[in-house]
Amino acid sequence: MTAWITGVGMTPFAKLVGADETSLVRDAVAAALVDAQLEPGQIDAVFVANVFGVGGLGQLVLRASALVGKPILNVENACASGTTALLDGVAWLEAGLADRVLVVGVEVLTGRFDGLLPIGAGDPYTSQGMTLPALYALKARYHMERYGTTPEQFALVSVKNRRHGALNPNARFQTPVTLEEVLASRPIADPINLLHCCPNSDGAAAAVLVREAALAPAPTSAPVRIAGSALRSGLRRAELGWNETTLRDTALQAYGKAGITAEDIDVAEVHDAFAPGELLAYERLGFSGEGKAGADLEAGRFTFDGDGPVVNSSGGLLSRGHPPGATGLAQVFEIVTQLRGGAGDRQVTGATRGLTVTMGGSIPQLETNACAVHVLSAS
Amino acid sequence: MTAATTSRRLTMGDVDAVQVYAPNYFRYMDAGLHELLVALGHPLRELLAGGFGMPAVNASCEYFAPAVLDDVVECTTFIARVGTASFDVVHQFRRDGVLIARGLMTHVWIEISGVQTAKPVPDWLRNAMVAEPVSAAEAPPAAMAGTAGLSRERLTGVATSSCAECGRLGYPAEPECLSCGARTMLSRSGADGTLVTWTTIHQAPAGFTAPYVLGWVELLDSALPVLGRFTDEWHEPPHTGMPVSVMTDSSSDLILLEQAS
Repeated sequence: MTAWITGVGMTPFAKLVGADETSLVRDAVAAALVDAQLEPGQIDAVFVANVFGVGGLGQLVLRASALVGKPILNVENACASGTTALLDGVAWLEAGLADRVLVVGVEVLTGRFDGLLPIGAGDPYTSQGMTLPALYALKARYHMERYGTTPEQFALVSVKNRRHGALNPNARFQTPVTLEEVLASRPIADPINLLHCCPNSDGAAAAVLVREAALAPAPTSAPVRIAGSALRSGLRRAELGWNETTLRDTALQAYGKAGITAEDIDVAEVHDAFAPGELLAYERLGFSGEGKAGADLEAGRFTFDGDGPVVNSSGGLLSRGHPPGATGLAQVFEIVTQLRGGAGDRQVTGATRGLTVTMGGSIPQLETNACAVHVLSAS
Repeated sequence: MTAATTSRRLTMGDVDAVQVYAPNYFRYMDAGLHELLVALGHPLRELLAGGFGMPAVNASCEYFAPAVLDDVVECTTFIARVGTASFDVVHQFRRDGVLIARGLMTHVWIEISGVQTAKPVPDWLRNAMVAEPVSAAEAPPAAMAGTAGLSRERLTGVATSSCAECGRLGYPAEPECLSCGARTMLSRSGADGTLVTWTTIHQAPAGFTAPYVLGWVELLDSALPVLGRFTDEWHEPPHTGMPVSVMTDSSSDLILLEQAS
């Protein structure tokens, strides 16, 4: 059984004063259905990803739509909720429960939290004053001490992604930043400054998944194949330490299912809620050798015309913004757009294989709540 | 640390033909818990009047040496484990400073309103939990004898758990061993550790005031990792492998780190 993405849609990500989940979902779903050339009645099931909203959000936002009465499933897996929902949708297709599935992620975040997102109440690390950026700062410092990675190299992740995001009309930030600006921005958790952090944002993104047997004979937008998917939850940090293994293991599992290696990937959307997260991921995804990520980034490997995969051509979470429920499907939106050759000024030349990597964490005791990796292929 | 000490000279009512009649120890445990609740500022009469109770669901006693007529037996009572709704009370019986018996009772915190329902153990009781020496046969540390009332002191290391079945050490302390599922004993780590990684927090979560430095430290005696905060300025720039002393502030449960000289 092969699952294909036949339509994607998203709202611009922004600080949307007065936005509500219902209208964001309506806009993203309408765009995805038009792209897939499907009517709501042809959808068999809907998965709705969200993190900070109410229970039953999917039914709430779809109650006045033509999708009412379909099986609606709510998915929460921290920042990886959207790409977890995608995996759930594929599983429904594989199980024969549906021919066509709609997956949508949504979040209204601005106005709900000021700055830091809340993390694991009752967690022994939270009770010592831990924050989410501090977790990334601790792993960044560990890498600096071990391999000589520099604060400038972490800052280059932000510089690269803001340069990419300036080419993406859906991104929240469409202006580049300089290395000096990142290094001089307000400190949050040393070595992480404000411009190493993604902005809390509002938005929605959606994808339509179809079984191969149910593909339209002559689609106007090329379908993209889901070649391999994997999902894992993290181990206890007390036993794991900082040489984290979950992302590496999840990626290897997804590569194995897709029958590829890291070298086969042309374009990748990699979770960069905090800039060090992307840099460390280069090594865990096999894009860089151990301890080499900083130097590879500095050499321009991960931008357009570099000798590695282009990472976060969309601008990533750092530019696009981070509505946690929608982020994973915005990554999928970017990779599908790239593999169809429709990314305009930020098109990765000849991209045929893409990757999405989403990390969702809210419990400091664990390496991650959820790590979702999907390999997408143009054919 | 709060513990209650009760003392009695044994009379004819306490002993059988040879020594203290075994079931009597459970009456002494009852008296010990009663005194502990007084020391904690929550006498049983008040708790019952407030609609709460703490029925026992398990009781056991190990007897290491006999006590006879006219011996003076001292019982040290403290909270040794706190779960969600249940807690263990340990009673150490000593004669002339030597441990002669160790009792353990498990109680459940309940609300009595029509039906009795188990409720989460309240914070004042949770905070009263203290570490028992790893070996019950060992003489207790001096601080444990005759302590009453809250002490706001720094304890060495952190509270850990040790599994008598498989030997696993746990931090944060594991009421049930995560490896084999057996019930664990509370233990305490040493103070010595080395720094693995650190960060200065400039934007603090609610309830904390920036800046402060968090450090991830590996304990020397167990290799367990601990997250804590540094108490003072650096003597030198921090680096991986730097020796660090680990302490626990007993009133706030904050793990405190200091650069070791």
